[in-house]
Amino acid sequence: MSEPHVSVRHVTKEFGAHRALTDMSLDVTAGEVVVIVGRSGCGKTTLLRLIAGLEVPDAGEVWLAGRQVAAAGRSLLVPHERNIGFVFQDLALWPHLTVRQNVEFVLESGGMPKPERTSRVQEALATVRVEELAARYPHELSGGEQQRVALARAIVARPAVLLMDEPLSSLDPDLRTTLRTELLRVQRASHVTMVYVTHDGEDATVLAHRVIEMRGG
Amino acid sequence: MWGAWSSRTAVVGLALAVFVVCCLLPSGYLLAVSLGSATGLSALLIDARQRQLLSTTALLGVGTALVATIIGAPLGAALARVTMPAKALLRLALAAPVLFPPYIVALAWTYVCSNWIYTPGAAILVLGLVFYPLSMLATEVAMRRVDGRLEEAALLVAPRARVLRRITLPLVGPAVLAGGLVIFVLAISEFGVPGLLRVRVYTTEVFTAFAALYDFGRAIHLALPLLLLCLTVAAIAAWLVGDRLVTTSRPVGVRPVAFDDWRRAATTSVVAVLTIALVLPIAILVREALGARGLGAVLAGSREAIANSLWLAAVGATVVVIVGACLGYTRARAGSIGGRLADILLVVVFAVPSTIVGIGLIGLWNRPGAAGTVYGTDAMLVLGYLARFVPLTALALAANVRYVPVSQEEAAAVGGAGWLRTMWRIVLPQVRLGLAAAWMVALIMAFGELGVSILVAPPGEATLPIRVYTLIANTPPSHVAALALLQAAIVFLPLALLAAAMRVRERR
Amino acid sequence: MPRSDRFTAGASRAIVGASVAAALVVGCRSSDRTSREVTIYVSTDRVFSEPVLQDYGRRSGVKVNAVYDTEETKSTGLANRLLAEKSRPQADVFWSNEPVRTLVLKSREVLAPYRSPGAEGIPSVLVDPEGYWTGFSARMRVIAYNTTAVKKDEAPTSIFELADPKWKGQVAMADPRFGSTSFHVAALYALAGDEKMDDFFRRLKANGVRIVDGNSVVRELVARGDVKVGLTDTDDVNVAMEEGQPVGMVLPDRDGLGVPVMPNMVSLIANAPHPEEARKLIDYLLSADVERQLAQSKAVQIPLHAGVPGPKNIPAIDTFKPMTLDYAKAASRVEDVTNRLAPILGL
Repeated sequence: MSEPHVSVRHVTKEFGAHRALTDMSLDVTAGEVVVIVGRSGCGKTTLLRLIAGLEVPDAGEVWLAGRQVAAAGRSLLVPHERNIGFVFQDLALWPHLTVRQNVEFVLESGGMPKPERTSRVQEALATVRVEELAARYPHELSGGEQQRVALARAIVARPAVLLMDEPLSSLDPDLRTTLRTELLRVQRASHVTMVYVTHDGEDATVLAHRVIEMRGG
Repeated sequence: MWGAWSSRTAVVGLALAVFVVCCLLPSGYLLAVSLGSATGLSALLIDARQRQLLSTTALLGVGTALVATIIGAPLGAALARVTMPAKALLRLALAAPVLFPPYIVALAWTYVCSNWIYTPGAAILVLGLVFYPLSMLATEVAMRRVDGRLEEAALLVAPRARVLRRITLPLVGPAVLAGGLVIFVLAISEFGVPGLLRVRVYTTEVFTAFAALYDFGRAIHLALPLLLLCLTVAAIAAWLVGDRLVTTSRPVGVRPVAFDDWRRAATTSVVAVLTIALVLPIAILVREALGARGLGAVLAGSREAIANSLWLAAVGATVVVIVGACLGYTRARAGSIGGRLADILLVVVFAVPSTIVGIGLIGLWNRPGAAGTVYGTDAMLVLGYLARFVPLTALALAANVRYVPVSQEEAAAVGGAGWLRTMWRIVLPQVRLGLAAAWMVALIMAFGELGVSILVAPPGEATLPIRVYTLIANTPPSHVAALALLQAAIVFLPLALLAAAMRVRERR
Repeated sequence: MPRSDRFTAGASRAIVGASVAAALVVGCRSSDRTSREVTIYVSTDRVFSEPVLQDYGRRSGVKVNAVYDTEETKSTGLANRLLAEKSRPQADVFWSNEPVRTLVLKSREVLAPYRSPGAEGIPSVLVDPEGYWTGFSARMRVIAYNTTAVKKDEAPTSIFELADPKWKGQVAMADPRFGSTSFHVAALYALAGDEKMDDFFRRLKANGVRIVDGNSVVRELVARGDVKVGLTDTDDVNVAMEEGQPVGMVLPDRDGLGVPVMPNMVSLIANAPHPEEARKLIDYLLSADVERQLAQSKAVQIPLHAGVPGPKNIPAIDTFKPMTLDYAKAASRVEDVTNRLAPILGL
């Protein structure tokens, strides 16, 4: 692999007086899982948001699959065109849509015909083992079930890059172990590039090809 | 997040352009012209008598807002959280007082109590009884959005009353305060009711400058202290609310806590309010109207005005809500300083006296060329509605959009949706209730609008309020009462239909 | 190609289509143009003026676009609309029910002169020598009294009696900043002088005068007996009399200062869009026919043309002494008087 799949080059990001990232660089090769550990507030989430295009770096560049997507102070490619899956820290499931609709929404935007969409959604739901919950609403699910739905939504479009922000942080140890194993299985099967942020060292041990420790700023 | 060349830029840009042209320009250009004249800023100083009037006006505004909130907010909370029979019907009935022109309600009360009615206290009470539905609606919508988990967490350690007071109420506080602010502005804009009840208010000064002195420049100068008052109050409100509005970090959906312990108190209040605010005035008006003779011809002649009013109010409400939604969304997603400034600006624009808006619209559109072809058509009335009511709906919808976390939009963006699709599929469905409420309020206000309409309506049977007010000059009180009842009944119909169609999914 | 384009494109087309359709529909209603039409702004109460205008429309076949006015305290009125539209007038004719409005408009160059043949036979004091307005069908300012509480010979015969302690707390009048009352007080100041009138109004205030919203409210209060007497117009009193309410009227100062006479006034608007039709309408309004109609209606307006029968309950114009008045002078005093009275009467 010559060209890194995800490349963050010397980015700096400030929010007012608070400096979240200083001259941060990171290269992730295709199919690699990078786990970033560090205390809360050290900029891990900001890094993910920069890669996704939800923030713009004050300095530095972001490259995806050999193409520059962000330069200092401006975005060169909008998030919905970056082919990225994102599991948010607060999950951000849409409360007025069922589980199936939550997942299907991602495919609708791409203009996929209905039969193909249905089968893909089914596949994604099966992967995370929530098929029986397809007609339920997010508020009717447990924390672990919601986590899995968020994951299904992130992988259904077969993105090139999967960004995960502390996706297991609020679950009990047993559930965490189960889901971690599933994640591992999904990633090893699909070879999706993954950047995974956590403060739990166990996640790093199980999932990572490479672990990066971040300290504040 | 959406990029500079996205549909958001186009839509929001268009909405902002409409706002500037329709809401800011009419009064703005009048202001610029008058301030630029020789007398200019020196006229901003007002004398002691006018200062006294201004403080009376402020008192009237604050008093009305308080009374309306004290009556309306608990009712809204009850509608949201207490099990009651036929709730949709109750809501409609409780909201009905706002359908009557405040002047008519005041008139009805003068028929029965001629002693204490001519006092500022009575004026506050009358206006409060007319405007409380706005507080009620704002409270109910906010209460329904409260994350049940937050209350449940508190219920584990505190009794219901405490939960209500310390958890629920602070969460709905900003919405209630916003409602109160709107009522404040509406109250201080009133000169009909204070005129009737002989309460001396500042707004009459502005009115006098037009109606008695025909001096536009002076009228505009006099309006400035009034706008300054609104600006001050709005700034205080913005400071009080701060950025405390909670965006839920977990999906909403847990059923909010029911406060059925207070069912009896709720039912009693509902009955009491309905009796005083709705049944009694209607009864007075009906009794007055029954003595009417020759009413048949008057009513029959109103058909065209009724049709026009319904049509124009519906079109107006729709356009107003669309523009207001775009602006409200922009405000909701703005940073804290920009957002608060926007709130204050919107309140001040809303407070501009309708007469000034009307004169400004004439000056802006009554000129040769493309603008002139618009002038003289019904479009002027819609422009009037836009000028008056977009700020109101923008404020209301901004509050609603803030309940939808930004992360949901981000999730949609990352998931591949453009801005329009995200709005259509993710954001708007979640603010449906707020949109419907805003549309209904806009419809009611547009339907009853007089101050701007009388200045820009094309000749012919323009709207029902114009017809009613031109007729009541020198008709017997029985006719006045009958026409007022007619006007309220007409605007009630589409609302009843809409409410039936909505059939808000009651959780209890 | 961005994935969101399909939805965006479709939605954009729908929005544009809907806007165009809405604009067409809204703009459509007022764009039908018949060949002959005239636009008149009317301040005289719609109940009385509308039948007259509809009649004209039927007889002449001309489409009459009328814009009516509300009571003076409900909205700012048509005079302001005419002022605002001055650079591009929409109205052809202005029919007002009291002189102040017309004269203000004349001073602001909103009107154009037209000497109608219909003005023949109208007393010259009620016709503008420069031709900008012509008076017709007049009302008077009167003292209304409650007939149950006050016997006919006890009723006050002069305005100035109202400050008498005998009527303490029993007098009502409309807000003198608006409408016909503003004309009345301005006329009094013009004729009797500032000092005398300032003093009178101070005494009136001390006598507990009730200032109310409008003339109809004065009538209501008198009819209900809440006050014994009030200052109002002839048509207001007549409405009460016809309803059978216990109200009578006195023409004040018939032998002294004179009874305030308020004619309707009709004027041509400067740069009117339909000047020909405007002149014809003015001629019609000044006809004896219209005066008879207005005399016989509830408006009970006194004809100014000699020989036209007047209304039943109102004395004919030649039976009393009217206030001899330069209407222009009275109108010019309005602003000053308004400013004087506000503190005196505590408005």
